[in-house]
Amino acid sequence: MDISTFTWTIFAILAIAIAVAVLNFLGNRTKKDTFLLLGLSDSGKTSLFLKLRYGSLVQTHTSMKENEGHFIINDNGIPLVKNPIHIVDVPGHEKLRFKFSDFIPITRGIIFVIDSSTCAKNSRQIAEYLYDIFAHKNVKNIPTLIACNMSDMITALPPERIRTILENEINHLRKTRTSGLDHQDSVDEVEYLGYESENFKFEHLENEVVFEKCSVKDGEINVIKEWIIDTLQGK
Amino acid sequence: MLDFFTILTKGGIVLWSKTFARITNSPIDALIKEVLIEERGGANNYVKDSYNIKWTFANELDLVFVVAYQKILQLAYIEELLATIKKFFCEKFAEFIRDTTKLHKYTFDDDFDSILRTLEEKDSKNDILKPPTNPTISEEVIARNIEAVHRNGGGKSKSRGNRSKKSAAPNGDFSEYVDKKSTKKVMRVWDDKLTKEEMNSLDYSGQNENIDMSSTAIRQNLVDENNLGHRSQDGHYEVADLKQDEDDESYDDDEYDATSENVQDDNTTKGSSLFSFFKNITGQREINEEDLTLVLANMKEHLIKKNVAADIATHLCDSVSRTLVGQKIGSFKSIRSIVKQSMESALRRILTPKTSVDLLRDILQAQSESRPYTICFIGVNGVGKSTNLSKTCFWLLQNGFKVLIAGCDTFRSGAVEQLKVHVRNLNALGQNSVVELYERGYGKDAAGIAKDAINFAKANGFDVVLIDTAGRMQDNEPLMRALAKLVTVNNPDKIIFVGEALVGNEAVDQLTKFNQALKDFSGLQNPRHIDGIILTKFDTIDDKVGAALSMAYTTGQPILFVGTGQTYTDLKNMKVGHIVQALLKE
Ligand SMILES: Nc1nc2c(ncn2[C@@H]2O[C@H](COP(=O)(O)OP(=O)(O)OP(=O)(O)O)[C@@H](O)[C@H]2O)c(=O)[nH]1
Ligand SMILES: Nc1nc2c(ncn2[C@@H]2O[C@H](COP(=O)(O)OP(=O)(O)OP(=O)(O)O)[C@@H](O)[C@H]2O)c(=O)[nH]1
Ligand SMILES: [Mg+2]
Ligand SMILES: [Mg+2]
Repeated sequence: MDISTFTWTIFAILAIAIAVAVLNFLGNRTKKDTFLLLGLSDSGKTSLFLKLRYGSLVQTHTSMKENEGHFIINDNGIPLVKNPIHIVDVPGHEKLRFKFSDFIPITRGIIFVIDSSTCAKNSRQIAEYLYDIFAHKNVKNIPTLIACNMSDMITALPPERIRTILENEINHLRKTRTSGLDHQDSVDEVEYLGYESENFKFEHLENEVVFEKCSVKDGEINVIKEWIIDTLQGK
Repeated sequence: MLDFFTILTKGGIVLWSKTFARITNSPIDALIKEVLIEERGGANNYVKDSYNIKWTFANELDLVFVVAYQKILQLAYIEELLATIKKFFCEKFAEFIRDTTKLHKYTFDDDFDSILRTLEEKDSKNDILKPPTNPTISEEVIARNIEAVHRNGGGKSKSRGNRSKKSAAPNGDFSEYVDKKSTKKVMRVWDDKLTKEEMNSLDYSGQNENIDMSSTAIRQNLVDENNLGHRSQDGHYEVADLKQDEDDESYDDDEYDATSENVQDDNTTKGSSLFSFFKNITGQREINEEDLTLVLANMKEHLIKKNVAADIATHLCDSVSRTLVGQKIGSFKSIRSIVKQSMESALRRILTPKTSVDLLRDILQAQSESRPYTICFIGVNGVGKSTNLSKTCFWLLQNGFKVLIAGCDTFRSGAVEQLKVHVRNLNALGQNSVVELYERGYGKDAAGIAKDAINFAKANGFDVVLIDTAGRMQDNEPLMRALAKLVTVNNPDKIIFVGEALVGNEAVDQLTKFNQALKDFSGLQNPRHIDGIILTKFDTIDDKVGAALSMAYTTGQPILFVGTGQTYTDLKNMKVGHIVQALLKE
C-alpha cells in the first residue's frame, strides 16, 4: 500500500473524529433536551416511549437496556414543537436502575411512570425509587412529572390518592434512610428531602413535581406531551 | 411442538413473535429478570413452570431470540433453529432494525415456518439414523423456500409501480412500504443463499464454527460495501442512500449479477485488503469469539486472583462473551477495554441488590403490625455470627429499638457466655438502650428456644429478636436439619448468612448447601432461603474482594453489611462501586 494514502487516510479520520467530538461537547453543554422515563418495572415506560415516538401500541417485555431516541413530539404525525428532543427509557429492574444517574447531567425533565392499579401494593418500592431520584445530588432543579399510568384499569387509584400514599411512604423512608449504617468509605452526598420538622410533602421539594393521570393503552397521553412542551419552553 | 418463538430487542420491544399454544404468564419476563439481567446468560437453558426456554443473542443488532417448549419434550433441533432463525432474520431485516425512525413490520411467518419444518423433518430423519447432511433435504428446503419467497411477495414487487401510490392509503402507516422493501431484501438474500449459504447452514454436521464462518462470509458477500451506510456518532446506523434501494427494486435481475460479480471481486482483487484495512480503522469490525478468548481468559484469571470462585469467574466470562460476540467494535477501542467495560457493568448488576436493603423500614413495618421483627444469623463455624449479631444490635439500639437476643447456639461451649458479655457491654454503652439475652443453656432444642424467645419478645414489647445460631459445616446433615427446623418453626423475617470475606471457592459450596438444606429439610411447599448476607473480616483482605461477588452471584441476594473489624461500629453498608473498582483494579 502507498504510504501517502495511508497517512492521508489517518489524518482525515483524526480530523473528523476531533470535529465530531468538539461539536458533541459543545452541543451537550449548550442545551439540555433529554427527558428520562423512569419508574418500576412494568409501569409502562417502554410502551409510553413507543407511543410517543410512533403513535402506536407495541407488545413489550422487560427491558434489559435503555431505549433512546431523538424525535419530535407529535400528534398523529403532526409536529407539536420544532426541534427533536432526546427521550431515554431507563429499565425499571432494580439492578439496572442506577443507569439513570448517567443521564442526569443532560436531563431537562423526568417523567416518572407509575402503574396506578398496583400502586398501593408497591408503594414502598415506588417511594424508594423516588427517594433515590430526589436525594440524588444533581436532581434538585429538574422538573418531574409523576405519570399515573394505566388509568384505564378499574383498580386504578386517582393521582391525588397516589400522592398521599407516596408522601406517607417517603416520610418513613426519610427516617430510616438517614439512620442507616455508614457506607464503607466516603460519605455519599445525598440531599435531605423536604423539611425536617414537617411531614414530607412533594411541594417541599425544590423540584417542581406534578401528578397527572394517563393511559398509554387508551392513548391518553396528551398531558404528558403538554408537560414536555411546557417544560421545554420553561413555562 | 414449540410453544412460542419471540424476537425482541434488548430494550424489550417485540419485533416478531409466533405462538403455537396458549401462554400462561409469559415466561419471557421471568427469563429476562431472573437470568439475563442477573448475568446468568452463560447458562444454556432456563426452566420456568412447564416451559423449557432457550435463547440466543444477536449483539450486532441488540436482539434476543427466545424459544419455549414444554419441558417434557426432548427437541434436538432447538439450537439449530435458534441459530438459523437468527441468521436469516438478521440478514433479512438488518437495515430496518437499525433504522429506528419508523416502526417496521417484520414479515417473517412464512420463512419461519419453512425453516422450522425443515429442521423438524431433518430431525425425524436423523432419528432413523440417516447421515446428517442429506442433499435431498437441502433441495427440498430450497424448493420450499423459493416457494415461500414467492408467496411472500414475489408478486408484489412486480406490480410495484401500481401499488406504490395505493400502498400509503390503507392504514395510513408505513408498514406497506416496509413490506415492499423487505420483499426486495428477500430476493437478494435468497438468491445468494440458495447457492452456498443455504447449503452450509443446513450442513448441521455439528460445529457451530461452520455456521459462524459461513455467516460472516455471507455478510461480506451480501452487503454491497459501496452501499454500506455509516454509523453516526451516537451509534445509530444511517442507511447510505435511499435511491440505491429503489434502483435495486426496479433492476432486480441486474442486481443479482452484480452481487455475484462482487463476490468474485472480493476474493480476487487486492482491493479487498485495502478495504479490510479501512474497515478495521473505521470500526466496522465485529467482535468474534476468537478475539475474546484470550482477553477473557486473562480476565478470568484476574478475577480468580481477586478471590472470585473459579466457577463463577467462568460463568461470568461466558456470559460477557455472549453479550459481546457480534457487537461492532468502535473506532480506536481495544477489545480489552470493551471487555473491561462490559465486565464492569456485569459486576455492577450482580452486586446491586434487587430487593430493598432498608432493614429499618422493615422493622418499622413490623412495629406497626405490633409484632417483633426476627432476624436469624446462620453460617459455618467461626465466621463471626455472634460478633456481627452484636454489631447489628448496637446499630438497632442506636435507632431506639428494643432488642432481644436469643441464644440458640446450644452447641459450642462458651457461646452463651460470649453473648452475655456483649449484652453487658451494649447496655453499658447506651444510656437508654434496652437489650436482653434470652437463653436456656446448652444441649436443648434450638428451635424451641427461639420460639420461646419470640413469644417473650411479643409479650414484653421488644421490637427486634436477633437469633444467634450454632456454627455448622454445610455437610453436617443432622445439624443442617436442625437449622431447617429452626427456620420452619419460627419463620424469621430475615435469614442472614454470615460469611467470611476470606473464603474462596468454598463460598459457592457453603451457600448452595445451606440453601439446599433449608429447602430439602423444611417439608414446606414454599421453603425459605437465605435473604441476605453479612460479609465479615473485610478488613483483612485488601482488595481481594471476590467473595462478595461469589456470594451475591450464588444466592442472588444482597450483601446487607460488611464487617470491618472487631468493635461495635465496624459494621458498614457495602458500596457497590467500591467493590467493582477493587475487583477490576490491576
Ligand atoms: N392496561 C394498561 N396496560 C398498560 C398500559 N401501559 C402499558 N401497559 C402494559 O404494561 C406492560 C408493561 O409495559 P412496559 O412498557 O413493558 O413496562 P416498562 O415500564 O417498560 O417495564 P421495564 O422495561 O421492565 O422497566 C405491557 O404489557 C403493556 O402493554 C396502560 O396504560 N394500560
Ligand atoms: N478482623 C475482623 N475480625 C472479626 C470480624 N468479625 C468477627 N471477627 C472475629 O472472628 C472471630 C470469631 O467470631 P464469632 O463471632 O465468635 O464467630 P461465630 O461465627 O459466632 O463462631 P461460632 O459461634 O463458633 O460458629 C472473633 O475473634 C471475632 O472477633 C471482622 O469483621 N473483622
Ligand atoms: Mg421497558
Ligand atoms: Mg457464635
